[in-house]
Amino acid sequence: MTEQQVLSWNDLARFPTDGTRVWATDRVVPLANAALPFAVIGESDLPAAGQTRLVAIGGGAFIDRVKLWRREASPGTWLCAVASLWGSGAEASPIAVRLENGRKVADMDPALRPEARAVWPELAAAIPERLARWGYGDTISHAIEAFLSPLAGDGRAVAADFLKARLLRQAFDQSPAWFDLSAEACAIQARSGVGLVHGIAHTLEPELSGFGHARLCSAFLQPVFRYNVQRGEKVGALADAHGVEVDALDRACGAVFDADDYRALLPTLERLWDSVVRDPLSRINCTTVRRDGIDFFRRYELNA
Amino acid sequence: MSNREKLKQLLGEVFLLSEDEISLDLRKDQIETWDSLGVVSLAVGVQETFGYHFAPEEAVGLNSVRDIISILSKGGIPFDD
Repeated sequence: MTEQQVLSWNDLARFPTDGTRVWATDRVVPLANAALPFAVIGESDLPAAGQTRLVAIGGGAFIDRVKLWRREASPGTWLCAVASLWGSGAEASPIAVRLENGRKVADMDPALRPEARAVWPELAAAIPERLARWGYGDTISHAIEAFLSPLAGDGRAVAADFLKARLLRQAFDQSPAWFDLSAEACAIQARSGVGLVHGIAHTLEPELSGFGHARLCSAFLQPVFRYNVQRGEKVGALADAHGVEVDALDRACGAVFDADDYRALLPTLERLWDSVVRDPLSRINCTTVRRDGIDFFRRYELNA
Repeated sequence: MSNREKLKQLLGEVFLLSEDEISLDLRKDQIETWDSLGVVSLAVGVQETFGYHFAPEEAVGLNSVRDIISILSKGGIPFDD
């Protein structure tokens, strides 16, 4: 797979107006119209197939939708993705998640990855604080699950370096730096794999309204991290081997934990636990996800 | 708990089998969930339960529960109880 181009906002603004279209989520259409010299369409419209260049601006679900549309309807179109929220990393990923018969299905195909991504720094300040924090939780989930994944192979060292040198050094704020960190975390997890946090999120998300993927990852990140720690020596051994502090990982997970969300979600987790255990992402968790594992999460709730 | 009992419990957890489906005579082709994800899950579970780390070629070369016992026995984990 060729490297994805990382463009500055100024690079993007200098594209020829002829042949460049912007397809944006409705929230950012007015901002895009004011900031860019290109024709902008909203999320309910469809661009004409055969477009030379398309710039997609939006959240992860929207960017995934654009990636799937481009592959099916206009494969010759050059695509640049601009995230309006960090977390999913969809702008950097060869994966697109779609709903199929009520289940989230991840479609992985090099043809899905945009040729370029760009950061629009001004969007960072426009993200509502709660969305920004959940996006931070999604980003940390990708990096930590990639680091611990039994499929990580050589990617484990890459994930460890990213955690030590970048992610754990950057306090959570609404800095545009989180757009790049999110994209890098997503690329790392695409190489290594994820685990139980994503197994839970993918299982519960279709059943719930008001709890999107990033919010679910944020609610379960620390409980799952502690579940993995108490299952044995594996997490500690991997952390020691790569010079990552378990306490630092736990603090990062705890920064997004919301006890009220956790209590609200626990009954659904209990009801769907058998499905969580069977979820393919749970089955590649760094520790065995046991059928009686729900007991840990019940006890966790008592302390939450 | 004997190592046989530990292995049976582990097989139930990683291959999502009920107690009456678990036997030490099972072969890979009899277990629907012994797929590529099952191999990963089994390797993780064996490391947790017995402290044995399957080499990748060992994990993908397993064709039966007897194969698991054979490798673990050679690795110094007794199954003659």
